[in-house]
Amino acid sequence: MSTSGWSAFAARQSRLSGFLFVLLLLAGWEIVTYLVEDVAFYIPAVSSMLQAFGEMTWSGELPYHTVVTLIRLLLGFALSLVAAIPCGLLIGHSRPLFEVSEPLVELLRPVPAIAIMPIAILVLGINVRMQVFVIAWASFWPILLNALDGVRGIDPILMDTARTYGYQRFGLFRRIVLFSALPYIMAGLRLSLTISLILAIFVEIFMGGSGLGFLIVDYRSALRIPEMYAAIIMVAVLGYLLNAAFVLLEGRLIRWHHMSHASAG
Amino acid sequence: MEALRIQHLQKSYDVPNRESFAALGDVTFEVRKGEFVSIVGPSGCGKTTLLTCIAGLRSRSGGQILLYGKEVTQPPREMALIFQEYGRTLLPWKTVLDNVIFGMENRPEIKRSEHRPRGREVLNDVGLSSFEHVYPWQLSGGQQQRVAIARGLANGPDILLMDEPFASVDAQTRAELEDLLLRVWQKFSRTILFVTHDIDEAIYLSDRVIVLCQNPSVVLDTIAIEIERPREQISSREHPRFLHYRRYIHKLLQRSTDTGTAP
Repeated sequence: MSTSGWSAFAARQSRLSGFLFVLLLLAGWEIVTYLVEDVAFYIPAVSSMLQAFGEMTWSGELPYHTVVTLIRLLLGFALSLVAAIPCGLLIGHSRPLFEVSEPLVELLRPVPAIAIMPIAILVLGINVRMQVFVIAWASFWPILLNALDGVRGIDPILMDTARTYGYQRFGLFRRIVLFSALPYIMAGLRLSLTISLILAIFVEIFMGGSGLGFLIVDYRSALRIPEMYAAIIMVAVLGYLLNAAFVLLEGRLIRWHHMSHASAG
Repeated sequence: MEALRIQHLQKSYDVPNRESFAALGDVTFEVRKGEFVSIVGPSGCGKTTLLTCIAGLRSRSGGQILLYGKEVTQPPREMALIFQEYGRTLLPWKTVLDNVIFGMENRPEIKRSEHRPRGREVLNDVGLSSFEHVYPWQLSGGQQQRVAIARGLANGPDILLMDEPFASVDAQTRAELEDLLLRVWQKFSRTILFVTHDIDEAIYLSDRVIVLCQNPSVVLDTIAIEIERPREQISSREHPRFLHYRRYIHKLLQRSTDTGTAP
């Protein structure tokens, strides 16, 4: 227990020093913008960015577009999750299904979501459905592959144990497969959440209309550079918060996994 | 009364591009109700294969497995299998008590309200009553194997099949677990079929010892162990008959490995 206390302390220390490093960089940035006048237009002073950030938050512009982006990415993420988890579990569980679908998965997986977009536009039109589909496409694969690996990596002895207690197909699936695969699925979800954010910003930059991505291009074309930076900062904040929320959830769901691995190692 | 009868059991594996590999040649023996029988043989003589076949986990290539006269085709309720790899057979996402009732949860005839009291009772029998809320990975190896044994017992099987259950714990823990097993065996009046490569362990625990030889395995001999119970780690192992059995089984195994295959 004393080692975990120490590592928690060390983790807090390193987070603090990392935070200080960011502050130091920002201070350096601020000073440079005062020293080199030409730079200040493209790379505005931190203070002016923060000022724009504050004004845009106060006016409600930034919160509005943040929520729009959040909804868009969560829709895509949810769609991919609902499709990928059952697919992954099923394909991983059934050997014939795995053999049939593996080449297809390997073929589709490397296709970038951006390359899928023209097809999505043709089929679905230029609308929210198409945006959500593109986000879901990109976010689908990591979840699928992780769920699949999770099921295939189940300890055969655990399965045999459950079988000696009379658990069969559905019982095995519900009592053993689902839980054993959960840590893998969570890893896939975490990856996909970040990918969903990236794709949401991309479709907004590409199609405009609303969202943080739209805000970034809109202010760039208006040459209001501090406002553009404020929107970019908001993307970073959103990504950080999403990840932090996910880590919190993961800690609750699969605490046993992290703990059992810590004690084994 | 006869509990288990193994008749001409054969098991071979298909090896690509080669003749199929016979793990079990022709194994025949029976186990009476309430008996403690050990199967002893060198490593790689198909003991684990034998036990997983009896437990209904693996198909067999020939012969019969009769449980109270009925053929075993899938894992029967009347048997519980305790694995050597205790660390991998407990569910890491469940507490000790929830692991113990895992088997009961799949038996509709046991009422839900009975699961926990019954689980606690068995945990108490294996000396782990204060660990019910702990997770398996927080326990030592010996304690984990106790949980696995408790889970087997809680399910109320007539027959416990045990596959080298104490092979991966230290000597001290091993002696403790052996005595614990003998205690619960007598308390619950179960039948135990125990597989080990340790001749001393087999003699110490058993009513009868079945000696298996290597590749493909057949039964070399069955030895009735006439040492009075309850047994005790020091005096029972010093008993003149113990030494006699020990020498006999050693010789038997030595001769079989010298000649290569079965006579």
